[in-house]
Formats: sequence, structure tokens, C-alpha cells
Amino acid sequence: MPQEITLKINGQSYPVSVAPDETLLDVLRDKLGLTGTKKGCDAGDCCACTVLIDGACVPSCLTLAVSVRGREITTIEGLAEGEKLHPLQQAFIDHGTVQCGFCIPGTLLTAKALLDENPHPTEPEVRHYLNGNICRCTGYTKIVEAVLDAAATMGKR
Amino acid sequence: MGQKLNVVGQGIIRFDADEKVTGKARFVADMYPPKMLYGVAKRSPYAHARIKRIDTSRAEALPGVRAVLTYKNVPRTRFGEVGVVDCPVLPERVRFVGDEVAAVAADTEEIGRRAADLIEVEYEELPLAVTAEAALAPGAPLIAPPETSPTNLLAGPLRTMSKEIGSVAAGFKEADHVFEETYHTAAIPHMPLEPRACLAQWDNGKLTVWTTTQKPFPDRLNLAKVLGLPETKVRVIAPYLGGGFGGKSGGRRAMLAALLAKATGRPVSLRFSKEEDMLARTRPETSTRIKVGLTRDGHFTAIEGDITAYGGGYNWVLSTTGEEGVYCLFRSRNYRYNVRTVYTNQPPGGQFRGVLNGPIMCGLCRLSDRIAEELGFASPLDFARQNHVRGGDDSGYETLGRKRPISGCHIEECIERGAKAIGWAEKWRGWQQPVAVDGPKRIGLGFSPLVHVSGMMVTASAAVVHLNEDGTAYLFTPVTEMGQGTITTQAQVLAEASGIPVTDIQVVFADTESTPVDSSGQVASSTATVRSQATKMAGEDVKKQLLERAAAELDVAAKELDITHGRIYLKGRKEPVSTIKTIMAKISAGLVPITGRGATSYSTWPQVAFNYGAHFALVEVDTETGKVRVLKYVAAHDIGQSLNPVIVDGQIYGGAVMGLSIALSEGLIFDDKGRPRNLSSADYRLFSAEDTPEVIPIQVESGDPMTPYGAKGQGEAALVGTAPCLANAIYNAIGIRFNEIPLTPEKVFKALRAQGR
Repeated sequence: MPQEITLKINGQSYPVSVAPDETLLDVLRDKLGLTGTKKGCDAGDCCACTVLIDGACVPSCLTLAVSVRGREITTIEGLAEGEKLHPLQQAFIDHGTVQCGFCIPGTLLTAKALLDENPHPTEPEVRHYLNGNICRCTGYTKIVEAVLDAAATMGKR
Repeated sequence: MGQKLNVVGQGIIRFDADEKVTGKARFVADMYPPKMLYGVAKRSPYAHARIKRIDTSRAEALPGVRAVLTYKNVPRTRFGEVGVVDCPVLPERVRFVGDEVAAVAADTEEIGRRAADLIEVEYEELPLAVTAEAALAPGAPLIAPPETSPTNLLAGPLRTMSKEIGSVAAGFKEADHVFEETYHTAAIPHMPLEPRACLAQWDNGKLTVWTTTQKPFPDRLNLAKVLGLPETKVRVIAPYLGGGFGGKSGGRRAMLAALLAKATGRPVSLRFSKEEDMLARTRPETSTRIKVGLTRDGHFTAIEGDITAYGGGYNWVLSTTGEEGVYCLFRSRNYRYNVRTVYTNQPPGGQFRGVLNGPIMCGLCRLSDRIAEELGFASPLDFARQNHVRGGDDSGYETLGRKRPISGCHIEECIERGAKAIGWAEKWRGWQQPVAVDGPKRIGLGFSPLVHVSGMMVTASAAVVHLNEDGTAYLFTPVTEMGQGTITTQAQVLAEASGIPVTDIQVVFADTESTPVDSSGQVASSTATVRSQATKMAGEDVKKQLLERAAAELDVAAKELDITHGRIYLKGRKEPVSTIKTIMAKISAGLVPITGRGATSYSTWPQVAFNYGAHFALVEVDTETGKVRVLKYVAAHDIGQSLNPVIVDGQIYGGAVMGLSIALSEGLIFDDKGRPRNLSSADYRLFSAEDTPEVIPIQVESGDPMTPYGAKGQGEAALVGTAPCLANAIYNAIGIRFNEIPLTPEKVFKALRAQGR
């Protein structure tokens, strides 16, 4: 029995008709055209589908769309402020972090949640927080380096 | 390194970085054309079975189902890759757990999956063979189609071959020492973050597919053949791929999506789940036997590598890579390489980053470590220094009747710089002397040399450049972009060769309708060499035309002019005399448009280029749990000339970590019914950020006499050094030599307990 709900995503309201068992991931991608959030495993194991719900990082493949009505959802499309990239995005560009790009949206949002919670993480803390974000391309070194650099940049503001 | 370069060698920001960090980059599954349907495959639960009955009526009756395909309503054609045609569009006999038996197009993916479940299949189970030994035993069930292969041993070039240089029998006879070991490597699925997917759309009798492929042209060839169309009516586009690692090409998905789209008259997007993706392709399980003979003082008289590849139920394997590991790392008087591809009731074996050179290096460089110890070398570095090939040595490859020498080997510098980075001199205390012992934890130091190809005889490519009226340019190149930064590096090569500013170049890639034919696809680390050469030629062609045009305008000889960064100079003068933009603005006055062309085949090049490397590992083995933690890893590579050092570093980091993960943590486990038991990303564990140590990449840029700008490929080489390097480090820590991968905690634990420790 489809339900008519409204999702608040990146500051905008999206009315949408969803089945009770539809995941937030599928609604974002298949119904709302927000394809920046990626489907890697659909089982909560790879974190490519990470979004922020009220600032906390959450795998959207394990989140029912109906359960996040009224919450502030942030997807990768909402990380930049218009044309102005978030320091994390800029750092990922500057450090040569990006390869295939598939894990990047989930990794960026997880890193944002980390820095919002802990503005000056150590390297082990970064690796621990990002431990769920699986990457097959980069070997993680440049991801960690870019997050630490963004933390330093943000610390200076 | 000698040559003056303006753009090649710069770590410029990748062209695709911005759209990938903003989520704007579009992958196949991000495309949702109007009226799109979802394609879903039904898969066999049996490893070997005949379909006795298949009834799709309940599926067809489900609301939202628009088409259903089985072997009964698809073309009865078989297709395949590189000379082996063994894959029917849909089978009557399934050959591995996960083999497609039917496909559905439905309004939503959920309806599609429910419909697939409603398809009733009655199977007659057949005897199966899950190992190469079982498949080759007398009375073994025939897995291959009889028309493809009368036995499970798949004969033919690039699958099963034996090549000898000199006589290994003579070499073993004259040897003072003979060593022989057999190694086992597990089946490894590629595990890209992006599962395979394909979107197919027909328009007025012409098919377009957007697909996760590294080989758009071979895929087009197969589609055209099966659909009975000229290639001009089939367009294959590979947008950004979320990783490929050798595995993304071929298979049935494009066929099924195309046929579902044809049956429904609507676009169909077929997306694999993670589990389906894990079954699509593997680096085949192997049994790798290495036998070598040496003189008293440790020089090789014979090197033999003998691989049996458990090829899977369908063959997408190119087996001959692995030769270079046997012929081109160590000097020997005699060599032999045997490879056997055997059909087994397992997921299809195929190309994989490093291909069969991974198992060859795993075996040869673990064995050479043991040999160095037993023959009394002070360290494995000394053994490698004594025995490595030199530039100018025969590579063992021959084309057009000519022997090809190795173009260069700078492994000494890799060893020297790598040893320094790991702190070898301070840490190496001798064979079986761990670096440190702290209770149950033992720290070991290991080393491995390595070699890998940078282009293969079958790799050939072309490139086309168009100059626009405003001086910007298109590069039409068949390269695919699966993360290795090829579109950026090719733009750099074009900028270097032509003088067009790199920021004025737009790369159009991997589109069979506009980019030149490339039948080999993105394999064999060939882009840095073969595709760069095609791009370079096209760039030089454009530059020549620009200079002729400028010369006529300026009334000087063309040979007195040069172009860099878009500006045209008289040689030796500092001030530009014109610009590309100025020249091109005059095209509208009726002058001939400027296009450039380049085309090349590696088989015509006079030498063979290899990426040599030296890897070093510091590991900690916990003897209570068997857990191996990598503390530090150094990967030094003879890259020739880095096209873009940031991108090359990325390949070293990524290849090394993928190799560490494979060596310690990965491998499909099959039961006796051929069912994979660890088929999920929870059970099949890839290295995560916390598993990964500090990795130090080192680029040794000593040039190359043959390749464009001296560049060599780095896409695969970093992976093949990891399995031997880790095993050698574990040996240093705990004194146990392992002949397999993965070296999971369970295996290490059991080996320690077996020794009473």
C-alpha cells in the first residue's frame, strides 16, 4: 500500500509516493533523480550508499524511506554550497584521491560526519571512522591524507 | 629524465575529479531514460545441470512484467572472446552456480526479481567437476560445448600452450641444484565497488548500449553477430566505470538487455547485485608449479612455470600472460612456460589485474626467496641483484620472425630505493631472524622482485584529433576510464605532442560510433604505451599541419617553428609569433580543417617494455591467533617516465593494497556441489582503511628507449609483487613457508599448531 510522504533532502522538500519497504537509497535514485548516492552492495557492507540523517552517517540501503520523514537528509548533491565545494571535496581533488569515484560520495559524507563530530582527528581515528567505507581503487592512503588536510583547512577558518 | 617535457610528467588535476566529488559523474546505473524497464536475470542454483523444463507463464502473468527470455526465444548463437566461442545467449545446460537461465524485463527491479522467482525450472543435475583435476580425470563430465572443445582441456592459442626457449631438460640435467614447488591460488572475483550493469535502447533498428565494459569493440562485435546486424547498427558506449580490474567485458548482460529492449520496445537497464557481480568473473583458481635449476653459485640453468587454470564454466581467459614472469625476470639459459586452461563447474575465469602473472610471481618469487636462503645468499636482495635480466636480453617474445629484446630493466634502482624506504639495512637480521619479537607477536621483513607487461602483442589502438574553430580540440580515443585516469593522461600526451594546451582538450572516449577501433580493449597495462603512442602520433600529425599553416601565414619555414601551450614560436625565440587560436580562427575563410590521426600495434614495435619492481613488507604475525598485520609496505617500480605522477602513485597504492587484500583475505570457497560459500561482501572481506598499512610508492623514472616519452604502464604491476612479498615476510617472522593464498589467520594458526607452537 503506497504511502505519500515528504522527504527533506539538502534543504528542499520532495513529496513522493513510496512503499513501506522501499529503501531510502532506491527512492533517492529511482524516484527522485538523485543518483549521486551509489548502490554498491545493497546490504550495508560497503557504505557506498552513505547519506547523512540529521548529520549522522547512515547506510541508505538499510534505511526505510518512510522512517526518515521529517528528518534532515543530506546527500552528496548537498555537500557543496552551490558552486562552492566543501573543503573535503576540494581536498579530495587536490590530493589526487579520486580514482573511479564510486565510493567517493559515501566516503565524503562519512568524513563530513567525522569532522563535524571530531574536528581534529588523528590518522588512526580517521581510518577507524572510515573503516566501513570500502574502496577497491585507492588503497585508502590518499583518502586519509585528504581528510586530515581538510580538517586542518577547516580548523583555520 | 633527459627529455624536456611540458605537460607529460606533471601531476595535473584529473579531468573527472570535480564531477566525481560532487556526485555528478554518471555511471551506467545512473541513467534513467524515459519508459525504462529493469532487467533481471534468473540464475541456476546448480553447478552442472540440464534444463528439463522451463515454464515462464506465472512470471509473464505478474503485473508489471513486460518480457521474459529463455533459451527457447533467443537466437541460438554462441559468442565469446578472442577465439573461443562457448557462450550461448541463454543455455539449455548450465555450467556453474549462478549461470543465467532466463531474463525478465519489468517496471521495477522488485517486480523483476519476483518474476524471476516465479519462473519454474526443472533441472536434471549432471555430474560435476569443481577442480581441474576432476575435470581432466578419465570419465569426467564434459563441461565445454563439444563444438568448442572435445575435452575439458581448452586447446588453442592464448588458452593452452607450451613454449620453450632452449631446453629445460638439459638445464635441469646440468644444474647443481633443482628446486620444485607447487602453489595454489584461490579464485578471486574482481569486487569493483560498482557492480556490472548494462542499459540497452533501440531506435529505428539501431541498438545503443551503455555498459560497464573495458572492451567496447569486442562487445560490439558479439552483439552485432548475435543480433545479425552490421556493426554500424550497434553502438557500445562505456561511460565512467566504477572500477574494472580486468573483469568488466563480455558476459551475457549486454545480450540480454538488448534482447529485452527489442522485445519490449523500451530501454532496459540490467544491474547486477553484489552477489551476481561476484559470480560474473574471477581470476581463475590455479595450481602453479615452479621448477628451477641452478648452478652451485646460484645462477639459473632452467626456469619452468607450469600453470593449470581452473577456467570455470565459460572461458574469458587469456592465459598466456604469465610468460613474462618466467622469461623476463631472471636470467636463465633455458625457460619453459606451460599453461593449461581447464573447464570447471565454477564461475567463468577471465582476465584480472595481473592475470596469470600473479600466480607465477607468487610461486617463482616465494621459491627464489627459499633458494637464496638455502644457497647461502646473505639476503634475498643479493640473489635478485645477481640474477635479474638486463636491458637488451632476449624477452622470449617474437613477432614477424624477429626476436624482441627487453627494452630496459632498472630493478636495481627499485631495490636500492625500496630497501632504503623500508629500512632494510637496519631491520634485516638474517634468514628466519625476525625483526623483533614481543611475546606472541613476531615482526618479519620480506622482499620480492617482480616483472609485469606494459602492453602485449595483441594490443593495438588508434586515436583521432579534431581541431575546432576556437583552437580547442577533441581527442577521440577508445580508452575506457575505470578509475586509472586514462582520459587525463591521454590528454596530457596529446598536449605534449601537439602543443595544444591540456585545458583546451576534450576527451571523447569509449564510444564505438566515434572513437577508433581497439580490439584488444583496456588490458595488459597497455594504455601508457600503446594508446599513448597512437595519441602521440595523432598529436604530432596535428602539430605538423598547424606549423605548415603558420609557416605559410608568417612566411617562414615550418621547421623553424614550434608550439607549446597553444603559442607558436620561432625556435630559440622567447616571444610567440602566433597562437593556435589565431590560426584556427581563419578556418572559416575556406582553409582545410585540421584533423590528426595515429594508429599502432605493439606487435610491430622492435623491443618489449616491462615494468620491473621491488616490493618490501614489514609484517606482524600474532602467533596466538594466526593474524597477519601488514605494518608497512614499499612498492618501487621502474615506470620509465610517469605520465602523471599523482595518477601513477594512485595505481601503485591501489594495486598494492588490492594485492595485500588478495594475499591475506580473499578467495571464493566452493563446496563439493560447486556452490560458493562466501558469496556476499560481508563474508568475502576486502581490506578496509584500518587493515591497510602505510604504503610508500616509489617511481623510478629511468626512461625507456622505445615507448612514447619513455612511459610504461603501472595499472597491474603493483599487484603481482604482493603475494610473494608477504609470504617471504611471514617466513622471516615465523619460519614457515606457505604455498598458497590467501594466508588467512586460520591457515597461519593451523600451520603454527601443526608445528606444536
